[in-house]
Amino acid sequence: MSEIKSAVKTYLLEELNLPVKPEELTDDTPLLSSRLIDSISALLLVEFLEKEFKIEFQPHEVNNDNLDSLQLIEQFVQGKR
Amino acid sequence: MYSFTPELHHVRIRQEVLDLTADMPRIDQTTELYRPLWEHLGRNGLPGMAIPETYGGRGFDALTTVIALEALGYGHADNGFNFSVAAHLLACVIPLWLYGSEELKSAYLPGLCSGRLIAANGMSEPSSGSDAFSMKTTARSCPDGYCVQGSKTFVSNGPIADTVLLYAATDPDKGFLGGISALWIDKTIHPYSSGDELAKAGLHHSTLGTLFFEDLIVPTRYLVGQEGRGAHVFNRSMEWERTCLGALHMGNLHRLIDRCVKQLRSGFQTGIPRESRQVVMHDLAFIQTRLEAVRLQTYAAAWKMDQQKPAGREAAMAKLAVSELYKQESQRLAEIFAEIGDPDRDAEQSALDAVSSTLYSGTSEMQKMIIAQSMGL
Repeated sequence: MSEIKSAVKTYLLEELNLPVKPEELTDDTPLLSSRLIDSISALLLVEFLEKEFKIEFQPHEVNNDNLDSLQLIEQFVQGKR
Repeated sequence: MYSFTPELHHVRIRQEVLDLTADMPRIDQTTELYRPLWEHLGRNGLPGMAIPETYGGRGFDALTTVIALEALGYGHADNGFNFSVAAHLLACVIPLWLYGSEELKSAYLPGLCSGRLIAANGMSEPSSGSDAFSMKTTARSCPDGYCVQGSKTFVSNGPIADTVLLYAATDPDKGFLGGISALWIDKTIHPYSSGDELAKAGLHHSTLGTLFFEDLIVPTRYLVGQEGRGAHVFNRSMEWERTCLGALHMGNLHRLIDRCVKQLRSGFQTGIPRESRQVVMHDLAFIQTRLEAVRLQTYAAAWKMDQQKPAGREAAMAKLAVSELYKQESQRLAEIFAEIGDPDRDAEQSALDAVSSTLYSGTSEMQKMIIAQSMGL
């Protein structure tokens, strides 16, 4: 697992306490659309990504297309770097 | 490191607030004469207690803020005024500090900390209820910044506020994820109108009102946080409010318990039979036990915030626990005072003041929803 996915996975499991076992959280596990991440946690995730990877979301970028799985999050972060 | 012993500075701050409340100016019930109370607390920076000293605050962390508000709730029996100060601090001043530009912070935080300026939080709308982000108030882009159109209701401090932290939809289709923005409204620069003060059962010295914004032009520099980040600003403010505001209620309950115990121990001739006295004793013991449990839960939520950890779930749990306790047990304490033949105005008023505690900062059902979602339900 890449550095980005690993850091995000750790944050989701250890800080946001996602109710899922580590092995169940795969690269493609739906996060927002499955409501695994609630609305408040989604906001916290955005703040984490900005701080951790020194990127900035534009208002139109805060959506399922960029946040709905570890894979999509990684693609978004890499695109911003 | 875990510790269940208050630090020396916590003890000192508690005493400082108690001393300050013992010396509060007497007021009549008009809003203008009400300002000296704010300025009295403002001499010690308490309306901005969590704000760094460079802006006129005290730099308290969340746990110290809880302890200071608990002392305010204990020492000052005007629960409405106490609520107004906490709402100003937690839902308006802290988010301005966390997300505002340096220009806005320098311009407004000193006055907000000193009690010279009073702030209100404009979020709720007549048609949105607990689904707060489905708001109708819009802030459309215009050549001079934003054109704000809409209204906010159940705004604590609204009728007397000098400034408003206003949430408006900058992209209604996107909703809470990128579609809501926070704007700092200064009534002297951005005029808006207020409806009549809303009547309520308790918290009489906390004014509540409806605000109307009609084609109000607000320059972009009054954004609090980036455009589209209003939900972040609101969420963080609610984390502070849900964790810390209940400290006032804990202080209120503690005050009532202390006076009830004092009355029973003083040899006061109660009007109740001997066997009923035991029921009163048991009830007081149970209230004390529940209060201790809620206090620890609140301190733990504040401690987690101070570790810079996400604490939305803990904040919701603390808020749910303390407000339900407050509503139930302030009622029981009022009954106990009556049972022992010493009807107590403070206890009766507190029971009325507690009615809305399970409504503001999100209803109990909303806290349960947040907690349930965090459990994966």
